[in-house]
Amino acid sequence: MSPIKTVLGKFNKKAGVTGSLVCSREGMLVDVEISERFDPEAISAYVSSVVLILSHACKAVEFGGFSRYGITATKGELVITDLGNALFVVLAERVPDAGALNVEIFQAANEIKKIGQFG
Amino acid sequence: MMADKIPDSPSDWVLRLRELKENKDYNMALEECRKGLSLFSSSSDLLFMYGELSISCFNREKKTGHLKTALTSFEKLLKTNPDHYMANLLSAQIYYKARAYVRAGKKVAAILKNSPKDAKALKIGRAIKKQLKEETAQVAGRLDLSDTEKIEAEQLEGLQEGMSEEYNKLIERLSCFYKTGGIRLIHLIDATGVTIKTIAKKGYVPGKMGETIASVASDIFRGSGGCTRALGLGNFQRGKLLTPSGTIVLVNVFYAILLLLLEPDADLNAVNDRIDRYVEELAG
Repeated sequence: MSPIKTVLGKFNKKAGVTGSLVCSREGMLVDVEISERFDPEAISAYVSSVVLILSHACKAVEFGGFSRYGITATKGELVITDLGNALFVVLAERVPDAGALNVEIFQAANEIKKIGQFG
Repeated sequence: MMADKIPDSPSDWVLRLRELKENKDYNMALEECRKGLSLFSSSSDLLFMYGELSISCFNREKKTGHLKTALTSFEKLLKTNPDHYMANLLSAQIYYKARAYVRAGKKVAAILKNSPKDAKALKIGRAIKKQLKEETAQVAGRLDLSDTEKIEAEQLEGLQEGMSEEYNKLIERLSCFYKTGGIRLIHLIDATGVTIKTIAKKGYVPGKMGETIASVASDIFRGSGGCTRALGLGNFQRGKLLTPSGTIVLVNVFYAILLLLLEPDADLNAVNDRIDRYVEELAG
């Protein structure tokens, strides 16, 4: 098992997390640990298109780049963390303690950054 | 703006249509919207705009054909985005007035699924129940779209005006953010990306950003909504974009987008609590 997959597997055990993956900014899958009901290729592609919009948005308002984008939807949450050349994507249920999840995401993202040298 | 240049994106078409609408040139706007839809047939914004403009035309001309057109457009939009608040609400109102109570009820149910306390939907829901009680025996045979022909024109007057009423409600309730620390800018944008209201904190000058923020918010909102629906996560409710220069928060407030621009060190929990309160007040 690849070191990134190990981090993802460990991270997925946190409360509310339904899956996670690492992909390039262009939507190419690097590693994934997610339930079979999700299509990781589709997630990467959609996330990549959202990130493109976010990058344009940040440029338009002169904010530089983004570090994280969290979406709360009616049936779950999606969090995209910028790893430099790659993205850490987390799918979660609607969690009451979003703060705790954010800390876990921050820590996992740092671990992946160290392993993958994406920065 | 009304030059010969053909808009090359749905949002550019919407800007052109908005301009025509502001000039009350509804028929021209409808015609232009048709052209836009011939190029971008599945654009949610254009489909919604077409329905909205058809209602405006109905209010002026009292031709029920406009309402049929509006319903067809809303139904097409709802196929790809079944949670679209305004499309569901306006369709529910039209079906109700057409005495197509079951169809109206389905639209109300679609709203209440995501916003169980929505006052407008609950009001229509109560009216439907009352009518169904009185007409149970006859309802089954009267659910065809053709019933829109039977609508008395004056019944639907004010449908369009209902939207500006809603916008006023959204603006009034913004006062709950005034004392929240860390907010630089509050921006309300309608579903098509047009600014409804901007409030900047004292001493903060948005500059160039003030001009671009509406289209930026609208792009993020649409992109995020498309993504969550495609991934089976449902309808977009809230987005939080963290950057070293500040945080942008987007909130789906039923028929508009609320954007808050925060300082990098703003207390996100406090802001979240305010947003919850704002949404609750709107729904209640």
